[in-house]
Amino acid sequence: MKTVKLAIMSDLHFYDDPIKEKPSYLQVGAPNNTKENPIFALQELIEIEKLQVDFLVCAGDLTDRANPKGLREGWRLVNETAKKLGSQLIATAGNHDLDSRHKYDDHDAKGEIQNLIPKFPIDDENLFDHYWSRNFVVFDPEELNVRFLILNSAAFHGYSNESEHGRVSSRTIEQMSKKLKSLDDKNVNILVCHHHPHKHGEISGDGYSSMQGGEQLIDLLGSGDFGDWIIIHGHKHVPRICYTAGGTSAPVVFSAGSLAAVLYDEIQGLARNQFYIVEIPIDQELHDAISLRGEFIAWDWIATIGWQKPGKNSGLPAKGGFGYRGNINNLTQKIKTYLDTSNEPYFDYEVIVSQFDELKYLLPMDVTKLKTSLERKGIDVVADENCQIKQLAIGKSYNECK
Amino acid sequence: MNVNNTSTPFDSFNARNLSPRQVSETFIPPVQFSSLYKRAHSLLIGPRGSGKTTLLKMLHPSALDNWNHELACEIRKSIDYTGIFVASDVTWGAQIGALGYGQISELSKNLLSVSAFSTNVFLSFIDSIESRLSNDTNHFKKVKLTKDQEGIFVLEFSSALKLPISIPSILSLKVALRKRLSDIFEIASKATFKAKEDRDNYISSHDFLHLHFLSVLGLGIELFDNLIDENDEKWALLFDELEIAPDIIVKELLKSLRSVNQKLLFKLSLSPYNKNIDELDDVFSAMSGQDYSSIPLWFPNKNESYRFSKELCISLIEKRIGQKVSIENMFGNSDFNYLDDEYTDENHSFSLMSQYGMNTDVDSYKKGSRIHKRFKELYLGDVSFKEYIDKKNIDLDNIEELSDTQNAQYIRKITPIVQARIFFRKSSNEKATSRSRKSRLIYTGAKSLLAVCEGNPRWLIGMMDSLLKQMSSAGTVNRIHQSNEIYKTTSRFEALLRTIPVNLGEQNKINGLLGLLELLGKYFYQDIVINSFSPSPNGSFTINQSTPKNVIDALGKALNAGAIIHIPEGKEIVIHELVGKRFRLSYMLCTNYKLPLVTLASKSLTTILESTNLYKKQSLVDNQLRIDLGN
Repeated sequence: MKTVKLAIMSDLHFYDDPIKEKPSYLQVGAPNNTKENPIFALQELIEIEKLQVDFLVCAGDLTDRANPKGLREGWRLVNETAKKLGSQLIATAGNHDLDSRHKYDDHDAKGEIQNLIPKFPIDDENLFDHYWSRNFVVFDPEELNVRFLILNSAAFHGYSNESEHGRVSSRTIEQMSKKLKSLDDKNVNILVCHHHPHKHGEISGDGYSSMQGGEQLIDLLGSGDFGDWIIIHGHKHVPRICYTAGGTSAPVVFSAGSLAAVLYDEIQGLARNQFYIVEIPIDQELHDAISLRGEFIAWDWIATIGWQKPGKNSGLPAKGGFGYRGNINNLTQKIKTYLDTSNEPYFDYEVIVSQFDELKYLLPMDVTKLKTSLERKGIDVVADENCQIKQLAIGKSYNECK
Repeated sequence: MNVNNTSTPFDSFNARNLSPRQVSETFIPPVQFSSLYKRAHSLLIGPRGSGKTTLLKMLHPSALDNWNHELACEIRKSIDYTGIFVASDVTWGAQIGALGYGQISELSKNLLSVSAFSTNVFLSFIDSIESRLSNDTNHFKKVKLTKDQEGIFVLEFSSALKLPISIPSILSLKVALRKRLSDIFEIASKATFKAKEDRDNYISSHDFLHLHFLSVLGLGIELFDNLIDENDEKWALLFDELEIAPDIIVKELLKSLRSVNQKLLFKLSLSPYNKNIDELDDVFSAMSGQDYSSIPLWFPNKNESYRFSKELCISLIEKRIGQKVSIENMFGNSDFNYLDDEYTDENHSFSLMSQYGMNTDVDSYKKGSRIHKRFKELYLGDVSFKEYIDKKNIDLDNIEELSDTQNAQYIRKITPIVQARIFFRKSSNEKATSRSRKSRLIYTGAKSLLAVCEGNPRWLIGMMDSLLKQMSSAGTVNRIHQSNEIYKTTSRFEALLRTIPVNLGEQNKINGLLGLLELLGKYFYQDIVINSFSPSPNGSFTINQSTPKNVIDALGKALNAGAIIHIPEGKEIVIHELVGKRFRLSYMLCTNYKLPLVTLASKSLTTILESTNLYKKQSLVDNQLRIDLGN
């Protein structure tokens, strides 16, 4: 099965001066210690696990408060990481990257970022121009049935109170629509932007209201006219994956956690610093039959320990998927029938998954629903410490105590 | 050369954080390993960082299976038991103390604590079983279980455990046992909401709390062995760091040890000075049907320490830079080349020494050689030394021709003293602050570096890692860097020692444990370096009868931390009490007190203490008064 593989990172917040409270674990010039430097440790993880992907997506906030040293060092290291992954780098600007409230020298933040080598957000002169002039650009890689739409949701930063939220203007959306109409469809379509296009339930408060124009953007992408979409964004530092509101073609939204920022109090119970690899099948037949789906793996960064498998409240679990939007109870029934017809005392979940492919593409929140649904139907589930389902069996209970 | 920064198990200085498999990646067996893996009960004794946890973890089936070393195959063949590794947890004490927020009785608390401990033992048992299960049975101790067999085991064992499970699988059993641990805390918590008089009953009503770990474990073992048809096989319970286990658990363990289970071996680790040590020793010795050995993890014989340390360093270096090196080339020769001490055979001839790879070059005393120059220098600069040499009629220019073996030995024996006096009496070196980068030059070179680490893997790894980063392109490490590293490591060690609380009496002006050690260090320095030259100055101490208890306790802590080293008489290993025993300062600390790295004559401790003005001799009269006043 042909797939496209993406590594995803976001919100690195490289900083330079030791400000009162450090914003991230990535200080420019800090020692390359795998237990204290997440990027360095990540490069080591890539080596050890032999991770190779097609694209590295960096969803913005490379630096903190538009710090030029942070920006340059961050960009250098992200490019280095992309190379280690054998991948092409695709980035987009975050509010911190363009926040002109902070001035360090003659250049403004926008000038700094446009001067980066290799070119930001993508190393191609034409694409670079288009991104900065129109606030978006479409990138169709050769030989892959994939499309990237890179959006600058921080384009209006530095002009007014825009620092509070991102924006995609109606004009931009109109232009996007025109552009997409003029092109052939692709099987897999990926929108990369910094801000979240819709509200998240978990976080409230001023700093995090969603992107202005986000709903229109979602409507555009979910219209079904331009294929199926997945939106990858950062900004909130809270990892989450879900479907947006809309019809059956509503985009998948992948909210990447922050790779290296020091997480603020309110989200300590919901999130850890994370890094991801997403794999999406791009076979033609699959796409004629079903909507965009894929699988992901995630890692947690824990200071003084390093990269490890995520735990219960880290954000995204160690393994998961997206794309199957069918009825969970239906799925449960099918599983039950399968279990009933067999004599095994229990089943390894892998075996069940090989019978019912859809299970691979369940959102983490749907996996939770599945567990409940299975239990309601009298099927016992055993999960490991990382909350991954491992075994199933028709329910019997043993040794119930009084 | 690329100093590869890939993290390896060497990076983690504490084996506590490593899985048995990870431990086995870099394991170098010290000579004590062969005593440990024997089919016998073992008591593994050693100070911090001496490798106890590593050694015990190596007996876990997954470690042995994964281990790659020239001796690995042979050793695997001789191990016919399955290890169950149970770690003590320093947080247990706190957790257990917090159980029920101080609202439940001692009896109930003990019940809950032992149950938590038992649950941990069962979890470790399941862990070892899991390690053994495989479809590929060509590996060490691997067995295959069908799902049905698995089901039978799980159902029967969980029934014995009174543990509700849902799926008849080992994973399910594991998950349920983990849940039980949190249940225990929940029971304690719920109990606090009951009326006081009902609490004990409420807690006690939970049947599973009364299970005895040894008998239930025995059952589990039998069940499993029956299923895989290995009824003659044994299992070993590996209890690590017993010194931090709560008292009640050690008591339980002792009780269990007395009831012999033929299928079980026990291997325990603890620190040298431990109040339970005699009881453990007694119990073990009394256990019939099985051999027992007490295994010390320090090296009274420095030849073995050197051999082990060298191998460890070479392996570490190889892992880091991808090639084998000669550490003598890397770090150079040492002034303290003579690593034997009184502990070795007095008739030690040159030929014997060559067996241990020591510098047996007679030419090293030749006229014009470095040592010869040193002797001459001291002769000229130190009147007391001159007098000594003259009295003995030794011609320094012709030392290597000494036919009289006695004299030859004398020369070898006094060489370290001579070197220390030369180095530290030089005005430049004496005035040099201890922070000076050159102040520890005398301790540089391969042999001395390793001697300073006392065969302690943690120190060795830490030091090597740091020194490797300063390696030149020629593959050598500058002596100044070595000297600096010694200083840094010693400082870190001292910082640790400072945190150990001791009570040395308010009438004394000794500043904590470090102050006490410093007192000793200074005394020896005075005797060895400053006073008139003597061929046998004092460099070790004996804890005599009249030593106050609080000082003994403090030294016990020093022993456990590796700050002082026991010099055994004959073959004794388990020391039931410190009185009457002889000790020296760790060579690591010796570098701070300007002492040679060698064992020297002993002085009684109280004599040393009283010779300083920091210590007041305990007055019997005072004590009497205190008792009379009802203090």
